[in-house]
Amino acid sequence: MNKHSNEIAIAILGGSAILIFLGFTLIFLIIIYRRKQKEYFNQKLLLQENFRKELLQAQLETQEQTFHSLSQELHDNIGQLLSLAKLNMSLIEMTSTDNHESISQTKDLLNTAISDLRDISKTLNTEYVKEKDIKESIERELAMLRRTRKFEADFVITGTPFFIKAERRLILYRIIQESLNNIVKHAGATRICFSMDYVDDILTINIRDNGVGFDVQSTPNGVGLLNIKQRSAMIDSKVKIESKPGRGTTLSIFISKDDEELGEA
Amino acid sequence: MLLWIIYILLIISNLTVAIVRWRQLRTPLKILFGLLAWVLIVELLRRYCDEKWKPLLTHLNISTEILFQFSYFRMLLHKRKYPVLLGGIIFFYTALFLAWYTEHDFFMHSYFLDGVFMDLCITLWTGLFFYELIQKPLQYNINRDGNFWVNCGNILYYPGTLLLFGLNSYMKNVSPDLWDRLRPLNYGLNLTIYALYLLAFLMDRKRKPKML
Repeated sequence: MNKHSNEIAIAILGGSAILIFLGFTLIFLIIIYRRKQKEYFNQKLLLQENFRKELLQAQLETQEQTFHSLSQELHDNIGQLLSLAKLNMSLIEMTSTDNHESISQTKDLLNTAISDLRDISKTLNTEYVKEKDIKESIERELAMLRRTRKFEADFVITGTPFFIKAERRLILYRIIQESLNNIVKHAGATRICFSMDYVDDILTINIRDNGVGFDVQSTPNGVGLLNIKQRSAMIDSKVKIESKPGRGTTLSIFISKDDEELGEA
Repeated sequence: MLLWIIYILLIISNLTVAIVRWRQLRTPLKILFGLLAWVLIVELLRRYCDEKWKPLLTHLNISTEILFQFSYFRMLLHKRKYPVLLGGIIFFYTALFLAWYTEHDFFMHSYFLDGVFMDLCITLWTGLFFYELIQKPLQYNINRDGNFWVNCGNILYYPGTLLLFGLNSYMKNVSPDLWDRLRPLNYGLNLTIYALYLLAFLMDRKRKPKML
């Protein structure tokens, strides 16, 4: 009887142990399964993110190449033609005795056209933008806006400028161009306040206009705003847009400085 | 005695933590609070009542425990699993009725066939929870879900006590000494489940709606 009860006890203990072990195994397998799934998901996200960045990079490179070709074409071809036209006008002015006033006006118009063309050519020229200081490029951009006589543009710089790598500078400049372009196309503004504030290792750029504004929450992002956000992510900068209907828009860009030793050789 | 005291203290800790974190707890865990309060009352009554009433209290505890667990899983699982839950509870009470019908003083004996049925039902329901869990979105953090820990406790405790309930009466008759030596296994499993329930009450957090 004693032996029999021992066997029963062993059966209970053994059976319970097996069932508990199965329970443990199930929990263990679920935890491992979830962990593996999470790893796979994270890897997939990482690959998608890398692919997106590479695609954007390729898009930007293509765009820059197009800008560069366009810039050269404007400078070498149309620029030359305008210069030739101006030369011809000078020759006509020397040989002709009539219409001096009209010829002089035409020469002035040609001068303006050549000057504007040069500015446009420079803003499109990747190498030129990379070589020049960002301040200089922005001033040229604002000067072009002022010349239209539709906008008043203020430009303020505070703090001590620091180094930003040429590639990041170029993309930053394209973001600024895009936001100025948005103001021209959509804002209906008459005044643009542009400020660059260097504090510690962060450059804060504020572009404020007195235009119609929009509801940030309810307005879907257009191509321009999407471009700005994507480009901003590429250079590890942050973009903040503040706007209210009828109260204008402020776009702020926050970008960190680069280590000069690791910068361009 | 020591294990029993630890067991009671653990249930009281569970109840205290649940009360302190009540606002952060989700509804299924609030139902478990009810179960634990009930278990505490039954355990104290069983400790101090006359020996002949102990089996009745255990049967009463089993029938009530399965109702609490049914409500818990009803709140927890997807509504499509409701027929399985209902099937389980109908199976349990039918079996209980048949046991009583066959032997009218079934509730006064230490033959806990109802315990076996309860273990089977709850093990099945716990399995359904884990099945749902592996299908949840990956962003879902199982460690922060109190229900994961509750069901870890369930999957260890309920299958683990299946044989103890089933062979309880037989072992008591064949060898009461040996049965007394097996009792710590039951307490050990009780401690495990309530330790994991305590973890569940500590970890559970209502998810805030995400702004996307």
